[in-house]
Amino acid sequence: MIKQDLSKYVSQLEKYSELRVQENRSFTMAYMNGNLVRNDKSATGGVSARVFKDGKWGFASQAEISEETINKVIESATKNATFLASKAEVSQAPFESDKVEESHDYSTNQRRWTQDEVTEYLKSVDDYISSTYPDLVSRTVVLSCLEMEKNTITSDGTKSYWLWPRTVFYVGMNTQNEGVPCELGEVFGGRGHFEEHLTTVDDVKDKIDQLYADLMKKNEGVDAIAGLHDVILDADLAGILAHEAFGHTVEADLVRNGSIAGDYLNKQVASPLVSLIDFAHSYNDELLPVPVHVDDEGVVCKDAVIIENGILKQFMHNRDSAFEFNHENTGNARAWEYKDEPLIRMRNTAILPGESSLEEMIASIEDGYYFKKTSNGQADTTGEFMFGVAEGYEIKNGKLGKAIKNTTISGRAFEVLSSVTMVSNEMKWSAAGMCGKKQPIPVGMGGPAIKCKINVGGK
Amino acid sequence: MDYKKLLDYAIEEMKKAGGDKAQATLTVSEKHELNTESKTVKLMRSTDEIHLSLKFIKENRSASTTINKATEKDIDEAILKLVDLSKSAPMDEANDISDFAEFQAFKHGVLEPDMDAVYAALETLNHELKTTFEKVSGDAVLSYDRSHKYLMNSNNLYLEEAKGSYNFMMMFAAKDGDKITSFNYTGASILDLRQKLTEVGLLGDLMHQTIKELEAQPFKGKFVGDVIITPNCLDEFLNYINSSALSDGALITGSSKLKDKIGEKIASPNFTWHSNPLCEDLAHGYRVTGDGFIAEDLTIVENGVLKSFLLSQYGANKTGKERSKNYGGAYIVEPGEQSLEDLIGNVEKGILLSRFSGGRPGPDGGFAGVAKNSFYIENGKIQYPLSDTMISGNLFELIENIKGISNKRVNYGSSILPWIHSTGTTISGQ
Repeated sequence: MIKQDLSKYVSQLEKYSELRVQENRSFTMAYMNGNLVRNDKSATGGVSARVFKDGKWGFASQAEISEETINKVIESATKNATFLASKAEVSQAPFESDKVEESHDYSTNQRRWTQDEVTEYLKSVDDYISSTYPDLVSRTVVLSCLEMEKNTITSDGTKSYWLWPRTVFYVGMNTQNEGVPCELGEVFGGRGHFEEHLTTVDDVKDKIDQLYADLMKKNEGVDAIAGLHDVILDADLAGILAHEAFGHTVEADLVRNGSIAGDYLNKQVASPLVSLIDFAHSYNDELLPVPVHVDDEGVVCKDAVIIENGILKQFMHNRDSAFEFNHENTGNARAWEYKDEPLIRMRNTAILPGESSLEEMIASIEDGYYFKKTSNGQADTTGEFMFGVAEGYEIKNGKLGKAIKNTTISGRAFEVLSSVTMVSNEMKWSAAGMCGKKQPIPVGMGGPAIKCKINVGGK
Repeated sequence: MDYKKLLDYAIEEMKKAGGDKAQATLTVSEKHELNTESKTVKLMRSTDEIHLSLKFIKENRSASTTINKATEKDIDEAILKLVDLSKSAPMDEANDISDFAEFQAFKHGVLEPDMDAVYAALETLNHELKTTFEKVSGDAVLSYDRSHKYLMNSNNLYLEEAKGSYNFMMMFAAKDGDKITSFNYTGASILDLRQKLTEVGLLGDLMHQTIKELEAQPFKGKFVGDVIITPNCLDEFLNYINSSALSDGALITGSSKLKDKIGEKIASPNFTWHSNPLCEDLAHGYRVTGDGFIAEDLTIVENGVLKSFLLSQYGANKTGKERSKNYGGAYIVEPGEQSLEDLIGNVEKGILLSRFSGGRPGPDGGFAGVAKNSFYIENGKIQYPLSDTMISGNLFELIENIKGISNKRVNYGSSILPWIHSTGTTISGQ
């Protein structure tokens, strides 16, 4: 139903218009202390049209996908655009772009597991944790799968089909020390169906054992000391810094609304060691967590080189903002569900790797911290940010020391990236991200570890 | 379409598929939304949606699904999926559906939209942004949302709820030359568009504050002092308390610090907190809970004493505690006797906290984050807007240490909240 030929509707689309048929499918199983608290398979799909007229947009959607509803959404979206255009004070020519055709299906080629096999796998992981570590206060095992399937045409004749599955497998453990709870979790998985990530419990035992060992260290951990410190942010934290604290400030809609990046184009905003890119689909010929080839406005996606050797080079755009700023459009417009309009979104955002090894970076710090995992993050259009650190260690005299309790790090992205003095040569990616901005959207984040100065919450 | 007949079909088919218990909820909704960009109305969006949620329990094994299609063929396919899902689910006696209740059809809110009024309200706002608030930029969304929910289960329960409201949200910041502020946001569900949008959710006051924030200064030093939490910020803290200590997750895992505290004092005696989904003053109230019960108002904390958790049927069955009369939202905090000026006047050293940007507190209630859009208070007077300032403390200590509550409250449509003055929070700057 989603993968149907929509060509016959092109003639009905006024220039400029888009027509998108989409379905999002989710599958979640969650065990909490061995109880199955969520066992759900859901799907949300439908059709939408968006029409541009004299600088205004009309959008309409219907949950049912049929010839009748497709005609209806085109008609309603046109009516909405016409209504707003009638009130427009200036006219604007329709957008135009080259006609392209792309089709990308990232489904697994492996045999799909039955429901019994999936349940058995999750239970075996839960049983392993409960039998091996009976002293835990609680444990959580969650499998969360998402499939997005989109079929888009534009009035320029562009056709794009995209089927993208993602698997997020989470294991969480809770313990306590003199009544004070202590928790730690690990995310597995990535792009693709779960058959490409889950095999047998034996394959995750080492990771679970490591998670438990790290939790025990954290449970005996010390408070971080508040203040400005030399720290190493591992890929998890460097990625969220790149996305949340810097990436959002260079989304053109936020630039338009006064983000800090607006005044810094072609100026030094970071250390010359820092280059930051929002990749469209691949890096060094390797497919990234969220590969997007044609965006939801029918624009061919290119990498957006945001920072090159410390200089701010580019913002991220949709058709509207690229026209307004007279910039190249790198295809950053994406919509979450069929009923959503495309917004400017990141895809796979990362700092490029450098030349140092992690060991060298740790050895270079006399008194500081190595932060490995984040619990959450908040950032501002000023570049000011605050992230929770769920796992971190002291660095004393160039060596890793005691684990630390939950803490926070904060600062201003431009200042923190300007303080970078070492960048590791290893690139790690995470596909588990979900970014919020009117609508949620899955994103990839990653990068190397970076050495910088950052404000630590602590005590 | 005869939706009741469709639900009859779904329940019967789930029973035929071996379901001991079956529940179906169908929600038909529509949205008409206008979005602004650069102080003009840019996008008009109309969506029609339908969501059918099915819950299937066989031999205490439970499975659920939600689809956005509503034909008998779609239901047949969904039931096949449910049977498959439930087969391998573990047996859990806590799985259940809501009890029988006499048929009721609830109707509340605005059931017929006035889209001309929606457009006019946004144009008035755009005019004010271009004149009174020139330094403020931001995008606003104003929509009319209407939904009709039909709920049926194998205990012969059948309920309907039709509701509608206007929903407003705006995110904004100020810029003047090379000075910029943090973004701020507010919004509310409303029933009447005759009030200006600058009067909704304190928008006008917050935009005036944002312009002052162009002169924000970092706080230097660190102290333990007072905090006045604004209504915009209070809802977030109440939700943190709920997820850390009152709801299913915290009580099932046993991590809740309040798990044995019903009937005990957990907050200052001047703090009374309700969850009142039936309140007529709330544009976004509800009459039927997510797990299929007729919602009732409840008091969570009365004069500082914990009166109720916010447990669903599953959470109640799992913990052996009583199911709550609803499970959250629609928060109403009783007003105090002092004006906001009096609350500020009583602060020797502290901050007016308008927005908290930080992580979700864990079960111990510890929170730490950045004080956004906030102001430094000393000797009973607001001194200056703050930047780069962290705040940390503990949720449970925060409500124990309440010193005063304002007599004025703000109605957000989904909550009615005052300003709260507490103490014992750590404020640290550069």
